[in-house]
Formats: sequence, C-alpha cells, structure tokens
Amino acid sequence: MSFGGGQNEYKLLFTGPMGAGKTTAIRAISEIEPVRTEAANTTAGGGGKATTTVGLDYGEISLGNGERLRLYGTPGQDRFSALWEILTTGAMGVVILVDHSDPESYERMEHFLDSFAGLITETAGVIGLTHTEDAPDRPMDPYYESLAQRYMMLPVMPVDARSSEDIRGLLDALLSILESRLADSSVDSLSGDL
Amino acid sequence: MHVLRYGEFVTENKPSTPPARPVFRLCLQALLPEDAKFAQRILCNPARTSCIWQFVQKDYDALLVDLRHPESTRLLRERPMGSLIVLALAEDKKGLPGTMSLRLPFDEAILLDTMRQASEYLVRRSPMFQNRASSRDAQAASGEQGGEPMQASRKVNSLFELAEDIRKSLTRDKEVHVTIGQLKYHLFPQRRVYLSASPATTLKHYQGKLGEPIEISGANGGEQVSATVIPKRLDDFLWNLGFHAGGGRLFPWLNPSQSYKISRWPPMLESSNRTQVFRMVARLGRTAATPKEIALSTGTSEAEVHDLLNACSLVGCLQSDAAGGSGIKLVHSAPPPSLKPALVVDASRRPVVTRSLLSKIRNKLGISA
Repeated sequence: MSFGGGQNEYKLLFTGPMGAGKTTAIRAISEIEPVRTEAANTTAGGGGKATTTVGLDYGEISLGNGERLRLYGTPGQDRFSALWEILTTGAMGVVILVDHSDPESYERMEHFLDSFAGLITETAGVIGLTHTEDAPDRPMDPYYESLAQRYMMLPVMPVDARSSEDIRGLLDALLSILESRLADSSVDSLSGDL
Repeated sequence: MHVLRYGEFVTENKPSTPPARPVFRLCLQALLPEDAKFAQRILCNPARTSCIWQFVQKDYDALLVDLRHPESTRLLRERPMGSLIVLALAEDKKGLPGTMSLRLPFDEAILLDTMRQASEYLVRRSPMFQNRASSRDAQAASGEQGGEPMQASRKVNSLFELAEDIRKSLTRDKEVHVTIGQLKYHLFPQRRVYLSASPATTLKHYQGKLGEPIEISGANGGEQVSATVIPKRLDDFLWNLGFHAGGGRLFPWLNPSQSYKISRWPPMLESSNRTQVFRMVARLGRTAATPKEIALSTGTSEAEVHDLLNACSLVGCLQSDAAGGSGIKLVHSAPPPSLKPALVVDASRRPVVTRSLLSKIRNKLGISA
C-alpha cells in the first residue's frame, strides 16, 4: 500500500491510543468508506495467521483537479511505531485523539505528543478529547501543563468522534494554525520551515 | 517555536481562594474500568454528594477497591497511610470487619450512600479539616472571605452584569445559582461543572436587553438542584456567557489599548463564527497584540475581538501585558530536548502547504470563513 506523498496528494494523520475514536473520526469526514488495513503477522507464535489487523485506517477527501487529502489513522499500539514514522513523512498535520474518561489519559496524551513532536513542531497539531461526558469534572489543566512543559500551544477540545461537525471543528483549528503561520512568514507557501 | 514568558503577563480572572465544601481525594484505580467510569460519573455530580470527590491515583484519602482487580493487592499494599478502604464486593463475597463495603454491580443510591458515610468518616477523623471547616463557617456567618461582601441573593439586568458578578464568585470559588427567565444554571466552580437542563449555548438568545432581571443566589439561596441532571463542564458555560455578554463591548476589567495573548487555547468548539474565532485565537497564541491589531491581522471587527477576549478572560486563559502598551516580543527558541526520540520529518519530503491548498480543504469541508 502506498502512503501518499505524490504532488497532488496531501496527508493528515489521526493518532492516539486504541479506543480513542480515530476510526470513527475518519469515518465522520471521509468521502469514501474508511479502509482498515492488515499487515504481516510477525508476532512469535502467531497462531499460523499470515496477517493481522493493525488498526491502520484510511479515508480520503477529493479536492478537485486530481488532488486528494488522505486521512490516515495510525495504529494505536506502540509496537507499530515504525509505521508511524512512515505515515509521518509528508503529513501536513496531526490530530491526536484521547479518551478523556481514561484514568491514564494525561499520560497517553504525553506519549503521543512526544512521539509526534517533530511533526507537530514542523506542521500543526490539535488534540481532541473524546468521552468528556463520562468525566465532566475531570480537570483539563494537566493537558495544558504537559503542553506548556513541551513549549507547545495546541488546541485541546472536547469532541464527539461521531460528529462530523466536531471533527471539522478540529480541522478548522488545525487549518487556522497553518494559516497563522503563513501570515507570520508573509509568503504564500510553507515547506521546509513549516 | 514560541517560548512564552509567563512572568511578563498577568493571567486574568485566576481563582485563588480555598474551596468551601469538604474536598477528598478518591482513587478508583483498583476498580474494573467500567465500574470506575460508573462511579466517577455518579460521584462527580455535586448535586448528589455532600463533599467534593477528586479522582486521583496517588496521595488519596480513600481507595475504592475491587479485589478481583489484578492490581488490587499491590494497590492495597502501597496505599497512603491512614487512607480509608471501601471494598466493592461481588454478591457472593462477605465484607471484612472494620471496612466499609458495597455490592457489585454498583447501585446508584447505595454507592452515593456509602460514599456519603465515607466522607462523614473522613470529616470526623480529620481535626485539621474540622478546624478549616469551622473557620469557613465563621467567615460565612460574618460575611465573606475577604474582599467586598456579596449579597446572598441579587438581581442584575444583563448578561454583561451577570458576567461581572460571576467573575467575582469564581475568584471566591463560590457556588452560584442563576435564573434567567425559564432558564436555570447552577454553577459549581470547585468542581468546574454546572448543572442545567438547558445548554449554555442558549445564552446567546439573551444577548442585549432582557424582559426581566436575572436572579443570582449563593449556595444557600438557590433551590434544590435535580439530582438527575448530568453535570457539564463549567468552561462551556463561561465561554458562552463571555462570548455573548458584551455584544462587542469589552468587559470593564479589560483595556482596549492593552496587548493580550492566550496562555492556552480555550476549550471550545461551538461558535456561530467558529473559523473567525479560530483565526483570532491562533493569532493570539503566536504573539501578543491589542484588540485593534488582532482585528487588522485577521480581517475581523474590533467588536468580534472584544467578544473573544471577554470569553477567554472568563475561562481564565487570557493574559495581559502587565506594563501596558503593545509590541511585546516573544522569545523564539528551539524546543527542549525530548526524553523520547520524536518522529522526525524528512526535510525533502515535507509537504508544500499553500493558502490555496488550505482554502480548497476549507471549501471541501464546508468550514470557510
């Protein structure tokens, strides 16, 4: 499977731990039925299965004139981090989804912030908190403290991953950050110094 | 990447006083995930509990533990000295002498009753807390905890005045009950939640003049809150109030000639002109600027900027240049070294992002300004 990178193809990543809502979020905005991919099963004693589902999701949005925005949902498990690196190449931004009701949500967000720090620094990132209704009083301050410790200022927004409007809201914020960077640099495009 | 020098700025609207209700720290880590979620959802509702339960994983006052949890033995062994244990037991298990217990699966009423008993035990056991509580009772009887006294029940004539009043209540961490016509909002700043049958977005319909005054009452003046209403995040209420209260007018504690920036992105998604708001927020996140400068650089009106600054101020993410004036330079610096190797983007394969591309994506997603 190709991971994009062509001249008329742009990539956006959706990442986060398992169960955070990556597949649902891609489904909410993709023009095609999201595709779930499989990879070779390299796990020792893998029960004879040649392949295993790694939870890599793919959706896309056509932009006209042959241009496409590819939407990739990364596998949530660390053991597929090599795949994260491949997906990161050429991406224009990353959406990190975290289950806010997960007792370890703060640590999980930190893990993905650190894993994708290079991409976030060079492009843009947003954080969507899912299942906030299950823990409405759970503080959000630790998310902001973790971001401040990393000198990052990213939007942290409660979202319903099933809601197309909420996911478009996250992308709206991501695009606003990229536009703000363009405005600061007073040029019409960003690449190396993005 | 920007490095923010927080010391140069003053955070608006920062709460500072201690909470007024007993606050205890509860660990749910030794429950199975579904039981922990259920318990948290029930116990976080301030209308149903006599104390504030903070959900933490260490340094807690009480541990709710299911012995079937694989980590329960370790967690019991490592619990803080003197912490209260509440056992969650399957139906066929007997309780242990000297411990509190409740049955699984959890029943709402029994869970609330058992945890009420647990909080009463913690209050009785802690002379330090009783002293603090007595001190607060005395302050409440004599008026206030410092600052100008607030009337138990009062009326205001606009969302603008309501915002000013609530700001004062927030700095005192006081419960506030607000009645706007048929709408009722019950705010619990300590828990950062509010209770209402109406979403906070309804406030936008009350911008401008109202048919009747808004009634505000304190903790003892409000009517009983229905225990069936699900708590929502207080920031949602504050954001909507701040955004719609001014109608383009800046709150009196903000200054149109001062430079502002945000310390964090406000936790919002809903807004009638979301894209414009995001552009302004993205601008405020990069450099400090006066309302006029923000309006010029984002193609918005100063009135829209004022509404945004009001909302950011009320949710506590707005910072002002303490010395006044504009032209604040933020320091640029490389990010600190990460403890783990971050994914590095190959320079030769970075995407070329253009205004035209972003515009196309916006149009396709239907999120054009």
